[in-house]
Amino acid sequence: MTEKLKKAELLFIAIGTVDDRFVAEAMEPAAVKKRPWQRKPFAYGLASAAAVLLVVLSVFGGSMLSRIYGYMALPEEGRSHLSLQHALDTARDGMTAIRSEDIDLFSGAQIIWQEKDTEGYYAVKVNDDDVSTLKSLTAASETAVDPEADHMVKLWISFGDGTVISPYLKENPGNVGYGELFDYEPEVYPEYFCSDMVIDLIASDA
Amino acid sequence: MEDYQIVDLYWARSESAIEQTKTKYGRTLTGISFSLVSSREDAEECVNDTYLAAWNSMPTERPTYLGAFLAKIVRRLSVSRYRLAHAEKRGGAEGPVAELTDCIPSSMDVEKQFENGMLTAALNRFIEGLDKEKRYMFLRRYFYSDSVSDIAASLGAGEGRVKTTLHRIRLSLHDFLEKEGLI
Repeated sequence: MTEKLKKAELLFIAIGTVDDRFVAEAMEPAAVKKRPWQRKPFAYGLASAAAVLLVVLSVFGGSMLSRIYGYMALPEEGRSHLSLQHALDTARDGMTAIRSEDIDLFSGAQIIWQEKDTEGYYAVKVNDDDVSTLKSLTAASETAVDPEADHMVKLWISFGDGTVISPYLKENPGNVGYGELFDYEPEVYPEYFCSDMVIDLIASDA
Repeated sequence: MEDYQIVDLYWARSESAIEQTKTKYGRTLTGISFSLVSSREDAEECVNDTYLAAWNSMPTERPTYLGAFLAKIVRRLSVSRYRLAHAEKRGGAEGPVAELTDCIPSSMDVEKQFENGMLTAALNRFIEGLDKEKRYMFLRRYFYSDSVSDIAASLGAGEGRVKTTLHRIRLSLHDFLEKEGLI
C-alpha cells in the first residue's frame, strides 16, 4: 500500500470520529429539491415561450425566420416521429467512435454525443445554414436547465468557432461535467422545435 | 421510541434496550457495516458487537444522538475488520478511501494529526462550513460509504453532479487542511 493510500485510509478513519450532530444529520433522508420550473412549471413555460418568440421576432428575419418557423409551426400531431434514441441508434450504424481529444472544435460545426456507460464519442457535421438556425434557436433558450437529471446520453453542439452548448433535449437532460472537457457554455433549455431539429440532423446524417 | 427513552433503557440495564435499538437502527447499522466489509455475515457480527459496545458504555455515556453514536461504533468496528481482512493483500484501495487521496497535502503527517486530535477538530470545522447539501454528500460518501448512485438517488440529483460536487469538496478539504497548517 502506498504512503498516499495509507494517509487516505487514516483520513477515512478520522472522518469516523467527527461530531455526532453531523453524523445524525446525514442519517436523516435528504430533502429532495424541487427545481424552480418544477415548482412553477406554467410560469416557466410561459416565460420561456415568450422569450423565444421575442428574440425570434426581433432579431431574425427573412429566410432564417421561415426556416425556424418551419420547425416551430409543426403541429403536435404532425411532429416527429423520431425519438432522440432512435436517431442516435440510426446514426451510430456505420460510424466509428472517436476520442474526445480527436474532436476539433474549430473545424466546422458538429453535433457530438456520448452515450451512457460508453467511452467513445460520435459526431455529425452540420452545414452552415443549419448552424445559423441552431444558433438562433438556442440563443433564445432558457439557460437554467436541471443539471441533476439522469441522462442516457450527453450531447453537445459545437459551432465550429470554439463555442459549444449543451441543449436540454427531452430525452437528454443536458450534461454534467462537460466543462472539464472543453471550453463550455452552460446547458440551455430549447423548445421542442430545437430538439426536433437536432434529432432530424442526427437522423439525416445516417 | 425516542432516542432518550432507549438510552434510559440502557441505563436501567433493561435488555429491551437492545431490542429497541435493533428495531430502530438495525438496518442502518447493517447497511453501514456491509458497505465496508462487503459480507453479510461479517456485517451482522459487527452490528452485534456494536450492541455489546453500546451496552457496555451506557452507563456511563448518555449520547444525545443515539443513531450517530451507534453509527460511529459500527463504522469503527467494520473498518477494523476490513483492514484485518485486507492486511495481506493491500495494493490498492477502492471507493471512498482511494478518492480521499486527493485531500491530503503531501507534507501532512496524518497519523500525528489524528493521534493528537487536531485532524478531527479540523474536519469538524471543515464540515461545519459546508452547506447542508454538500455536508450530506460528504458524510454519506465518506462516513457512510454510500455509492455515488445511492447519494444521487436520495437527493433526486444526477450522478455526474454528485461526482463533481464531491470532487470539489475534496479539493476544498485539501486547501483547508493546508491553510490550517496541519503538516
